[in-house]
Amino acid sequence: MSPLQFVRQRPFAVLGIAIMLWLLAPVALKRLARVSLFEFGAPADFAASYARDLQQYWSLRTRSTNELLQTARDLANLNASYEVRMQENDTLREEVHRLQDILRLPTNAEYRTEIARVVRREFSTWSQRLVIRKGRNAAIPVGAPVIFTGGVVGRVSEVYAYTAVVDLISSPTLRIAAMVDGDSRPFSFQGGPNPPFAQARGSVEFVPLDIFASPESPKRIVTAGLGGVFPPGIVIGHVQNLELDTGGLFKSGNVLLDPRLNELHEVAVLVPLNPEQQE
Amino acid sequence: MDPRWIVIVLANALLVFLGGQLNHYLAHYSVCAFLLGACLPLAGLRLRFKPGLVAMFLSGLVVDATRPPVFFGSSAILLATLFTCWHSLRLRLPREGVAPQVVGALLANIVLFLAQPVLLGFDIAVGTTWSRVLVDLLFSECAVVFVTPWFFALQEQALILRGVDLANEARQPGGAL
Repeated sequence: MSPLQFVRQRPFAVLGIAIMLWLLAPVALKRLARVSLFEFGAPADFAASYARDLQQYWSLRTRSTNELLQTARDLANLNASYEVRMQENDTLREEVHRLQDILRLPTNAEYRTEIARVVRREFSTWSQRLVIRKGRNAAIPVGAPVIFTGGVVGRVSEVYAYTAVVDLISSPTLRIAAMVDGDSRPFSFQGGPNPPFAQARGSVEFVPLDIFASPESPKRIVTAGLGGVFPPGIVIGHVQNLELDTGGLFKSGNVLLDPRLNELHEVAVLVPLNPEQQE
Repeated sequence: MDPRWIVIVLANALLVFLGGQLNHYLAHYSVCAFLLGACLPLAGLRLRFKPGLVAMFLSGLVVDATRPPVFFGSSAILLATLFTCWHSLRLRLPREGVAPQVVGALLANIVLFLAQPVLLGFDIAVGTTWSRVLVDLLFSECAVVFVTPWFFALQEQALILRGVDLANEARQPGGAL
């Protein structure tokens, strides 16, 4: 029987051989194929992202001069207030360094901020992630925390030449240490489950018994700074309810995340300045 | 080189890209459309086994490269298996008209969608709600109904541009029809 006849008469045998060959293929080959195919598709996503930016630019061009002047004035006010905050921030930072030197405390990890546009949002049934327009070209490392004005966005999970993939905080694949704003006791936060047509959600576990929350008086939770990925004090979301878990030693509950998480256009990647210090 | 599988893989890459763009906008509503089933009808109904298997396997790899960290090649194996099943059964099934394309794509889409939790693992699969699964599945099936006839025609026309007339070829001795 010729090979062509075999292929025609034994399709399932051929399929089985193909699957076996794939399963036995070296991991390096699979990794190379994955990265190559991702990079092969990246320019198309890039082009779509730039087209959206251009679309936004032209839509802004249709605004009247008065409207733009008003916006510029608002931005100038905002910039002035940010200038003051930056000066306050610098003073506080110097104070923290001075106290750390006096008390010989370990210094907090320092970060450089890398602003990146969102190329693609992907809120699938089982996982949520973003593709951003910066990667190895901006020295973004795997595991770097990603934030926006509303708080935590997620963590960089894959880095490619000009893009990076961010696992969102609403994704069940992401678990971080959190604490109630103003309280120092850490507990666990995990993304999901995310119902359709609703705000992104998460859940908390191992919450101390003396913390209470309800939809009428939700508790704001922030990152605890444990684990060395996220710096402490970045907003995660608001705990809506807390109930005793099955063991009765801790509480668990649901967290509502920032509604802007589903419509992000720009994020900030915190690139650690001293990666060794974090480890 | 046989242009069939190259054209089909590129067309499927286009579908993956368009699906990604659709999901980018749908993210605002916390729903998503899963269109992988639409990759199958042309290969299942018209292609011979060898180019069809190669096209489906490579299309699956293209899909897996842009997806969350499932085992790389899982979609390739699923698509290749579904294609082989369809190819083996197609002489006993209706093959003319739009209905077989759409029904085949819908069934393939359900199988591929419901296989996702197995590929992702139990830990991740439990991190969603039944309402989300049902809404996404319903939305995906509606999207597949709209996309399949256009996508089937697009693939056929792309093959004709490369000098391959599958409909005519399928009527020849040993062809699909």
